[in-house]
Formats: sequence, C-alpha cells, structure tokens
Amino acid sequence: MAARKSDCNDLGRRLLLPALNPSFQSANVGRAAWAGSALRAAIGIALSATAVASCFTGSDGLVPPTKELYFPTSLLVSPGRTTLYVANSDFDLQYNGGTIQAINLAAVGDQPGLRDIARTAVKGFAEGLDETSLCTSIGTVPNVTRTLHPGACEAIDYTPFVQRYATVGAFTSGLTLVSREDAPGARLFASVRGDPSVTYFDVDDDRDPDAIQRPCSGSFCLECQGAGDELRCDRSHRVGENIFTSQRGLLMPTEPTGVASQVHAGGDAVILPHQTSATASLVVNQWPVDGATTPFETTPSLEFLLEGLSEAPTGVAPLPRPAYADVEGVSYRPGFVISYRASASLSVVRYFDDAGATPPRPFLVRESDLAITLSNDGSDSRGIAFDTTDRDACEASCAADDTSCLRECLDIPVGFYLANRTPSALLVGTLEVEANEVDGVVTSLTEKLSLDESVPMPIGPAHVALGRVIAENGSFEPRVFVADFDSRFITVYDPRLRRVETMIRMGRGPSGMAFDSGPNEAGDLESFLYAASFTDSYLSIIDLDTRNSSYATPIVNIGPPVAPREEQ
Amino acid sequence: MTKLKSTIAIAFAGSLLGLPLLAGSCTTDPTNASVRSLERAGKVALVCLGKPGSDRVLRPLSDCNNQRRETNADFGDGDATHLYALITLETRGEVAVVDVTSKESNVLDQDTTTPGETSLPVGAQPVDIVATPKGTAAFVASADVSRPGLYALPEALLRPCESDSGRCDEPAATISSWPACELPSLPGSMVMVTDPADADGNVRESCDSPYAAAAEGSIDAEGLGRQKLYVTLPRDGSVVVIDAQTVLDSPPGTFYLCPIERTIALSGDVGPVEQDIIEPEPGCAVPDPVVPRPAGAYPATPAGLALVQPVGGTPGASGARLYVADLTAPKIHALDLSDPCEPNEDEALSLLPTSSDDPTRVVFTDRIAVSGVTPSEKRHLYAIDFMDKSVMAFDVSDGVTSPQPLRAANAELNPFQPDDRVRFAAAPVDVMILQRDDPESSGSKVTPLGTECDPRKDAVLCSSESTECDLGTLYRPSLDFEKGAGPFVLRGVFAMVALASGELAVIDIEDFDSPCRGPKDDSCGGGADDHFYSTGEPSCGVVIPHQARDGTYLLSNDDVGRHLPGIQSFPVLSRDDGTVIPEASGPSMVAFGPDGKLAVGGDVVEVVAGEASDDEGVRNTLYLNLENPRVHQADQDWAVTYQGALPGFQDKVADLRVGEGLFIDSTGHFCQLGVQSEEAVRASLAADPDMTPEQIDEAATRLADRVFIAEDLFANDADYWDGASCSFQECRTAFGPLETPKSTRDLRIVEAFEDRLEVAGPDGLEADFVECCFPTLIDYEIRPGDEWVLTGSASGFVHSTIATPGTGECRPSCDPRLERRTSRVRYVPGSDGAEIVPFVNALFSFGIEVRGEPLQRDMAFRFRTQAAFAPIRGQLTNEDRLSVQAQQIGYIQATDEIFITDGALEGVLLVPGDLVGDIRQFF
Repeated sequence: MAARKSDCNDLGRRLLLPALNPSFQSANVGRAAWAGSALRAAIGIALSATAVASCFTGSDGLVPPTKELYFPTSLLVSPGRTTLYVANSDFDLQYNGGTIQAINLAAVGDQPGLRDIARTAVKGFAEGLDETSLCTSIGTVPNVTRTLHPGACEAIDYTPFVQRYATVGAFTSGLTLVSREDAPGARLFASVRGDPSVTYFDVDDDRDPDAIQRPCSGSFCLECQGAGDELRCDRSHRVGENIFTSQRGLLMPTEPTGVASQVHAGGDAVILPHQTSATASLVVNQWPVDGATTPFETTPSLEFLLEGLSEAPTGVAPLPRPAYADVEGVSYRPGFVISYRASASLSVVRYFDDAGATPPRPFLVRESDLAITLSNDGSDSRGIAFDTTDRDACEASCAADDTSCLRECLDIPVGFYLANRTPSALLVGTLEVEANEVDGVVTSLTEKLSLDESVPMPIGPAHVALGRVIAENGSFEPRVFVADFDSRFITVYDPRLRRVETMIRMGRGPSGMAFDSGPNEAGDLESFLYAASFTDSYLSIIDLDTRNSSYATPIVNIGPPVAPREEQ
Repeated sequence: MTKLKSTIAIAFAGSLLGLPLLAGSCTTDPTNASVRSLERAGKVALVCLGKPGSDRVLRPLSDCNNQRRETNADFGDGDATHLYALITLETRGEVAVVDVTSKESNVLDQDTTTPGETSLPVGAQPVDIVATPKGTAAFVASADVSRPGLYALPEALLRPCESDSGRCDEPAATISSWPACELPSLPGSMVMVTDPADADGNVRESCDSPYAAAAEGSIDAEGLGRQKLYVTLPRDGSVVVIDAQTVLDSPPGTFYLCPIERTIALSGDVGPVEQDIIEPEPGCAVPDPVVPRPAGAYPATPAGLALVQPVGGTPGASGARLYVADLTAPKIHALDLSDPCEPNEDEALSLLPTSSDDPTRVVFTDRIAVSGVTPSEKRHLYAIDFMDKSVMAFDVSDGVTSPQPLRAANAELNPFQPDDRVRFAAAPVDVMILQRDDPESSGSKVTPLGTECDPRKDAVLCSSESTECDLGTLYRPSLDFEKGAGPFVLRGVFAMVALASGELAVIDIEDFDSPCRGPKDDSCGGGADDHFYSTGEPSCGVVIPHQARDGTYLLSNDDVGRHLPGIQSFPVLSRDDGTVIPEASGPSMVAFGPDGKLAVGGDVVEVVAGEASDDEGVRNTLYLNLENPRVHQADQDWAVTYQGALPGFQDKVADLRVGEGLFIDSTGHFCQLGVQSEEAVRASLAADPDMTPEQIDEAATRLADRVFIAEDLFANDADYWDGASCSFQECRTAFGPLETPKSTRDLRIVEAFEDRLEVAGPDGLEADFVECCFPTLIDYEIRPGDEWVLTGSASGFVHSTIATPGTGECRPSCDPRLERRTSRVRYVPGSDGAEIVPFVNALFSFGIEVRGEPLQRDMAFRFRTQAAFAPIRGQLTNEDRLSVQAQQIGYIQATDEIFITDGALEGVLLVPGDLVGDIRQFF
C-alpha cells in the first residue's frame, strides 16, 4: 500500500517541534517532574506512531466500502436502543481505512430495523413455519451454507440498514460511548490501531428515545467532520495525533487494543491499553461549555500515559461505579481494570481528575495488581465483563437520598468475568466494594477484585460480555457470553448455576457482541444479541428468549458472508 | 490412537531446589497424531462388563481389575472383564464409551461410517451420568435448554461392532435409540440410590407399589434392590426421585414427562452459626462479628451430591444419606434416605459452611465428597468453597453434632492458612476422598486394613518365624528411607483435590503412617522410646489431619536431599549503599529460643545461646519455626530493614493537608498495608504495667510510622515559583532534595485510617510553608519509626492490622490466631546499651542487638530461605499436555487409579493411586 506523503510530512514537522509550551510545565504538581521525560517519550513515540500511521491511514488507495461489512470487530448498541454502531477494521488492508457505521434497529420510514427483522423471525419460529416460509417472511431464502454460516436462512442485505457511516484508520479495536451527565449529548469513541488514535464522533443522544438529541442535521449522527465521499474523519477528531491538543504534549502510543470509558464530573475518562508499549493512555472527554478558553476544556484530549504496565496490555473495562459513590462526602476514584496478553495478572488503575490543580491535568495511578493463579498459566487474557445485576436491583430499590439503603447495596458483590486463552477458559471472580470509615462515617470507597473459578471454554475465547436473557417467568436474567473466536462458538454461561448453559454455533471468527434488551412497544421484554462474524464479515442476530424454540440460535444473518480475499 | 501414556510428575509446590528423589520425569511415549474424539469431557460413570452375549455380561465393578487385554474384543477365555468409562461430552451432547482395559482402540467407535471415533448421541449439555451397580444401564441427565431430560443407555447398546460382534449389522445409535423422558426443569447432579429389597429379595416397582419379585432382565435383577435416580433441579431448588427402571422401560424415541415419584423442596432455612468470641484487648481491634442470618433468607440451588450408601440396607432402614451442596444457600443439605421413597431433609444433620477468617462471608459450596467409615470410625465430608479457592472438612460421623467446618488446633502457628479450610492459589475444581492401603506380610501374617506404623522401641518385630509380633513395625521407615513411612506412601484416607492448574493436591485425613513421622524424642508427647523408630523429622506437624500433605521428608541428609527449611547462608547486615557491616562491628541478629539447630546451605548447624559460628566466627543467626512447617510457603529473599519502607505504596499519590493535619489517599489502604500510628502504639503499650505514661508517650512517638514525602520540588526555573509564597531555595533548604532528604520530609503518623492519616507536621515549619513547597498531590512512602521491619520478596510485609469496625482506626487484630502475623522488630534503647526485644512471628525467632555502628535508615539484615514446605502436587501436565482443566475426579478401586476428565481436548486421564508412575490418557 502506498504511503501517504502528507503523513510523512507530518513526521517531519513533529520532529522539528520546539519544546513544550512552558505554560504546560507550571501545573500539576504531582506529575510535573514527569513532563520532560514525557516529551522525550512523546517524540520517540512520534517516530513509530507516525510510521505506522503512514502505513494504515490515508486518502490514497481504495476507499473502503462504506455500506458493507468488512472484518467487523466491534459492535455497540446505543443506550436508547435506536442504533447499532459497527466498527469495520479493514483487517487485510485492502482499503485505505476502516469504517464506523450507524445501523437502525427500529424502523425508519419504510425501512425496517434489524430488531423488526428479528421479531419477524422469532414469530416465524414460534409459529412453526417451514423454512421457506420463514425465510420468505424476512425476505430471503433457506440457507444452503449453514455449516459455515449457521442459521436457517441466507443472509439478508446489510446495506439498507446503514444510515450513516464514516471512515477512520484501519484496525478499529473497540468502541465506547459516553453520554453527557449534566445535559444532552453523546460521543462515540473508537480506538484505531492504524492511526493510532481515539477517533470520536458526536452521535445521537437517545437516552430518551422519544426526544432524541441530535448533534447534526438528520438522524443517526456520526459527526466527525468527515470529508470526501467516504466521510473520512477530520484530524481534529483523531485524539492522540497532535501534541498541541495535549496539555502534556503527548502522542498516542502505537497499538491501542481496546477502549473503555467512565463518566465523571471532572471530565469523562477514556482509557486505552497499548499492546506493544506496556502503556495505558488517558483521554479525557470534555463537553462544550461557556467561557472555555482552551481546547482541553471543550473536546477530548490525550492527557496522560501510564507507563510501566506489565507486558502487552490488551483489554480494559471500567469498574462499575456504585451509586453510593455519589453520596456527598464520599471520595471515589473511577477505576479501570486492564488485562494482559503476556502476563498472568490484571491491573487496577484509578483516574485522578486533578481537580485541585490549576489547570487540572488528569492522570492515572496504578493502584494494584491481581495475579492470575487459577490455572497453570493464566496469561493472554482478553475480554472483561462485570455483572452488576444484583447490585443494580438493590440500588434501584433505594430512594435517591436513602444513603443507608445505598450503603447496604455496597455489600452485594459484583460478578467479574475474564476471558483467558492459556488455557482457554472463562475466569470467574468478584468485585467487592470496600467502604472506608472514619468514626462510623464512610469517607471513601475502593474496590477489590478476586478470581475464584476457571470454567473451560472452547479454543480461542476472544471477547466476553454480559447480556440478559428472558427467563421462563418473563423477566431478565443475566448471562455471560464468551465469543470463542477460533472454535466458532459463543458460549453462554449461567452465573447463578455457575455452568455453561449452552453453546451457540457461529460463523467463522465470532468477535464483537452487542445486546438489544428491553421492553417492546407492548411493554413485554425482548432480548437479542448482535454478533459479528469477523472472518466472513457478516452479522448474526441471536434470540435470547429462553421461552422460544429459537433461543440461543442465529435467527437472522445480515451480510452476505464474504470470505477473506485470500480464500477467494 | 487414543491412548497416551506419560509419567506423572510429583511436584513440590514452593520448592526451588533440585528435584526430589521421587519426582518423576516428564517423558512421553511417542504419540500418533489423531483426531481427538473426546471434546470437553465432563462426568464419568464406570461399568464393568463381561463378554458380549455371554451369560455373565453384567458384573460388579469389583470384578474388574488392572489386568490389560490386548484388544477391546479380547475377553480371554470368555470370563474376562473390561472396565468401561462412560464419559459425557458437553460440547457435542454425546457420551463416549472408553474401554480402559484394552491396550488399544480404547475409545469405542460407535459409527464406523464417519471418520474418527464417534460417540453415542444424547441430549445437549449432558451434565451428569450414573450407571447401575452391575451395568445394566447408564443414565444421562441432559440440560438442553429446550429439551431437558434423562436418557437411558442400556448395556446392550454401549459396545459397538468392534467389541460386540453381534452388533455389526445394527445401525449406529441415534438420539432416538434411547429410552428417554423429559424433566420439568434443567437438571444438575444426579446419583443412584438403592431402595433395598425385602428379606425375600422382592422389590417395589414404584414407591407406591407393593413388594414383588424382581423382573428378569431388569435392573432389579442385579439383586441389589430397586434403583432410584435422585436428580437435582437447580432452578427449582429441589431434588426429584425417579425410578430408573421406569425410565429404562420408556419406548425409545418418545420423550414424555419423567414419572417423578417424590420431590424434595430443599429448604433455604439456615440456623445460627457458632461464632468465635474474640475478646477485646487494649490496643487491638475486634473484627466484625457475624451478622445473624435470618432463617429462610436464602433460595436453595442444589449443586454437587455426596451419597452415603451402606451395603446391606433393609426396607425403611437403608442407612443412606444424601448430602446436597448449595450454590445460593450457606448450607449443605442432608437428606435422610432411610426409606429412599420417603426422603426428608434432616435439618439436624445439615452442615453450615462458614469462614473463620471472614465470619461475615456467606459461604456457598459446589462439589462435595464424603468418605466411608475410616479405621478410626470417622466419616468426613469435604466441600469446595468456590468463592474462596478452598476446601472445608466436616466431621459427619454418627453422633457428631457440629455442623461447621473442622478447625485446626494451634491456628496461630500458621496464620497464612485459615484454620477451617485449605486454601489454594489455583481454583479447586473437584474433590474426592480415597482410602488406600499397602498390605505387608510377614510369614503367614498380613497387615489388616488400616494398620498404623509402630515406632515404639519395645514393639515386637515381625519375622517369618514369629508367631506374635506388632505388625505396625512392618511400616517403619528404613534407615535409607527407601521403604516405610514417608511422604509418598499414601497409606490411609486422603482427600484429593483437582485444581484448575492441572495439578492434584493431597490432604491428609488419616495417614496410617503418621505415628512414624516426627522427632525421635519426646517433644511430641509420650516418651522418647515411643518414637524411637520415627523418621526423626524435627516437627510434630509433619502430618496434620485436614491439612496439605508434605511432599518431602522434613530432613536434610544424603538419603532424602535437603528439605529441612533453613537459610541459604547466614544473614548479612549492610547499609543502604550495599556496604557490608561485619558481625563484630555492628548491630547483630541472634536466634531466640532454646539451643537448637538451623539448616544453613543444606548443612545443619548447632545454635548455642542464640549464636551460631562458622569459619568466620560468630554469625548473625535466627531460628526457623517448624511447629507447623506449612508456614514456610516459598523460598524467598528476606530483609530486616531499619526504618524500611513498607511495601504497597509505590506509585501512589496523596493529598497533603498539613494545616488540617491530614494526609488523604482514598486508594491508600493504610490499614490493609499495615500502617502503625502513634495512637496504635500508645494503645498497645497502655496495658504494660512496667511502663510509665511518659515512657509510653516516648515510645509511641518514637515507634510511630512516618509519611516520607517522596516528591521532588519543582525545578528551580519552573513558573510555579513566580507566584508562590515560598521559593525554591527556601523549600530546598527546608526539605532537601529527594536524593539527600532532610528529616523534615518525615511526617509522624498520629492516627491512621484506611484512606487517610492524621499526621504531625515537621517541627519548626509552618503548615502553609509545607503546602507551598508541595502544593498538590504527592508521591510518598510509609516508613516505620525507630524499629526494623521484616519483608519477604514473596510474603511481603506480614501483619494483622485491620480497620477497627465502626471507628476505622488501624489496629492489630485481637484475633489470637493472628498473633504471629507480625513483622516489626523492636529494641529498647538505653543509656547502658540497647535491650534486645525477642521477635517471634510465624516463621522466625530472633532478636536484634543494637550496638556498634549507629543505626541508619535502610540498613538491613538480608538472607534467603530455602527448602520451603512442599505440598504434594501431582502434575497432570507435561510438555505434550500443556494444560489440563479438570472437570471431575474419581477413584477406580478396582485398578487403584484416579480418573480426571479434562474440559478441553485431553479427554480422560488415569493416574496411579499413589501418584507415582504412568498416566494413561484417552482422548
């Protein structure tokens, strides 16, 4: 692939950069001594980072198919269940970037949403339709390649569901969405390994589906100041590529392999582990406010690099914030857990917003490590998931100002799940909150992770996610879903019975998963899993209602499946 | 090729020395690459069968033995037997039939028309399997979400053409080939319980039927009574009783509801538990008491089962009892099955899992196992506490009333393990209890089962001529330790725990050889002559019931190697810069205790009056405590450092508010990391009648930990100083640079809480000035006052400090079991020379004599321990079998082998009962 000249020029400019703006050195205090070395590191990183960027990002070369799936890696359903965000990775570098797409889950005009198709399929299964009728009902025909692409019917066309798209660098490794806490607003962050950057988008805030707040004209906003037919995201939306947009003059290290976020009043924290540099990046998201004088106060910016982590950090997930953390007088630092590919351990890092400094320069602290000793190796951990079902239920039962009730909810442990590859297993543990007291008054909260069980998985677990199925009694029950990339399964683990409930045969390379669970228009609960088949670039919808005969089966495929070029 | 033979490697956890004598090598026979047919092996049922078509096909397990046959169709003269393992394959929804007697083609190929060895298709997610005692049929519980049910596999359909030539013309079995029935809910574990026949041999066809003659060809014809399936329904919180023959009689291809004869709704009622009463004492904190648990507050979710089924029961008095573990109630249910048709939950016999080191924790259990009656007339139940990576032991002998886990005596000797469970680093997956013996003979005499080793000096030796002798003398250790009582002679009752790490752990329950393990003197009670022929191991805790079994002799000699815990070389004192301070010129370390011995570099040296000498003269020395050798968990480097930084605070930052006297770090975990405040010292000394208040105040001030400000000042040219009320030079003068700090960087800790410290500002400096020099979050260290701290490279800083419930101050726990969790070494300064304060913690006994060289921060005695306690670990992995994820462990009495199924692709492993020798593997 041709290198992009402008990127090479970028490299030259970066090397000629003067020292940091002195004003940046005056603050933060706890971390001031670090700034000089950070600059040196940043310039060093710039060399490699830009070199990588020149390989994977650019406007020369083939434009990616903007309305097709191409090695999808990550899926995300919006809070209001209106949109499915899909990240396509351009894994084989056939194009000059990957794409992010916004898919409608509910009907838009005459165009049904994916959920409508899923409902039709479920109904067909329930009515016992023959396959031809069933497939006709969703606009396709019986599947003749179901060994490779499980499902009763051939895939329906994906293109009509793509409402918006944007082009990013290659190798998007993850998505996370941040909803503004004090006002309408939502941002989608994509970790892009090829840039490397966090590319962000202003998207619809659909927390109230009846009053969706849109940051653009039209619907399904995916705003990144995209240019060209492919709507390639503007550099201003690629955080980590420009030292002038970082208070510490930082560049993002290579290989951001995941992304996770926590909403926080002092700036939302977005964390990325970097597989090749034993580093985690902190991007802080700020929303536009009146009177802001610097970009750092209104947009996401790269604030800190936490170096010295164990080898090959790969996964990251936020520690679920307990409601009691918002009680006045209680100190709580948002936390994240980081997993590693080359180390049998996990790290807990805490986000410090540095609110006491002027200007605040947020940073991360590595609070503790947890050795993984459950199995004979324990390295190569991938996805991380938490099950807050019981604690959430407890907190939901408390009045907002009933602190004693919320205090009791802290005693409910949170389930903790980690996909591990050596050996292939789902590691099961708990997250417990510790309330620190002075004279009987809770002054701060911290958390403690533990791992207690190892559940064998098929070869190659790659992702883990917590979803909700509908139980016999019609209510939600949690399940842990593990995408076993190598063995083509999604394994469903029942956390209450502590055993594998069922295994869903998938297409090749199941990777990204997203859940669409909630009430339908009639108020009845429904639940679907959208799963990406990375290798053959298509999606499947899985029915998650245990009362249905179609439970835990791919009821609809969306694509069509396309084998990698090297196989064609 | 489906069989792989390798040698089990007995590993010794924690040992970094050379391989012990009996450690097996990891050699592996050549393996033919083949498709692995056993994927995600789960549960196993064993059946012993004779030649197909013969009149002695159905056989009890005791008819099978470890004699191998050439092929799976080789039945010798026609009366030979084969032992078959029926293994559930959870991914495929199949049951594999593995002939463990045959030398080849062990995994029976049920359908030769498809490649590889195919298995018997049953419902999806087969979660358990049981077989009748003589193999008439096996029953599989399928947790298929859409079709939960039971499948019956008749003996006649288990063996395909290759083993049963009479079936060569039959089509391969399908899921419709089996009698089956539907369950109302997803099943979990399952056992088969015998409803005894009456005196005339009659059985009742159902629980509500009269007794009648057993039908030919039925399970009843096995002659052991009517067989009932007890199936757990976890989601319903119940156990259902289903007649096995009725299921077997179902027409193949049908799937009607299973006829449930009885349903036992398990009770989630949990009564109060016995609590440790920890008395408050001055200066320590009493941990949170157990919060009383309201009755009926827990839903029942049955999990693992353990059946007590004595042989020879009669109707209404079967003697059977079923224990049911529970995933959501802190209880192990006990079902009285005197009449298996009228089961009832017996609350009086239910067990209450608890945790002594965290009484507030609600303990749930998963897998359980129960022993037979041991030679000492005991019966024990072991249960896995799946949220704690531990196993608990319960005494379920007749007449025993305590429902809580057994507790170890002298728990303070090993504060690294709770006293009511064995905790592992890896996750325990399954547990079983086995009883083994190795009968010895002398002349016409054969030792009866359970004969204990006899070390008495005046015991009568046995010979071929003797008519009367003490048979236990046959188990004495030989002089070269090649024979007799020792770590690998697994004679007795043991719990074996399959770990997720691919290891087998062994726990002593009743070691028949334990009387011969220990010192030859009277230190363990009795007279010296009573232990005359013991191994001479210098500890009375080599074998402790319900604790991890040692994998080595606790000795260092030419015969057994160097396994006596000791130190690699004498401790060396050095300054922070590495300069060594000779024993003669500086503070020295002396052993505390009566004259004794110390292993140094593999040699055993004498310690007299606290001192040991070598060619270089008197050396720094100490004792390693061996009352419970398990306390020495790992070979590691140790440092006893004067004012050494406590570990755990690296990279942390805190908010220093000198004006408020506060130092806040919400992630500090100051109590968990063992911070000692001035108030804590004062409180602990307050009860000392020999100290005056002034002395207490002086000691508290002197010994309190310090916050050391490890933050450097901003650079001289930093913009910050332009607007600051202090200058770089002023701050530098006051605090010094980080490389050569001044004492003003030390802030004495007056009181400590989990997330904050109350500190005294540096003398002579205004709070505003300090905060000006260090205006925001700072890096810091915590260092002790005028004392030394012991830290291990693996163990860290061992202490018992907790946050006082309710008030939050950091204080040592009042729990007497933790009294040896201490790492602070003190001395008493005095004008006439310093006084040694004895230091005794769980691992070491010594004191530090302060003399000569003045004390300096980070001056340290350093040494390395070796020959740590090495519990037996049977290694299931090797270079070809990189991981084993055990799913079930069981014992095959007939062949003295332990079977382990693997949750990945390694199939089933058969391990010798004593863990020494070849592993057989079938996949």
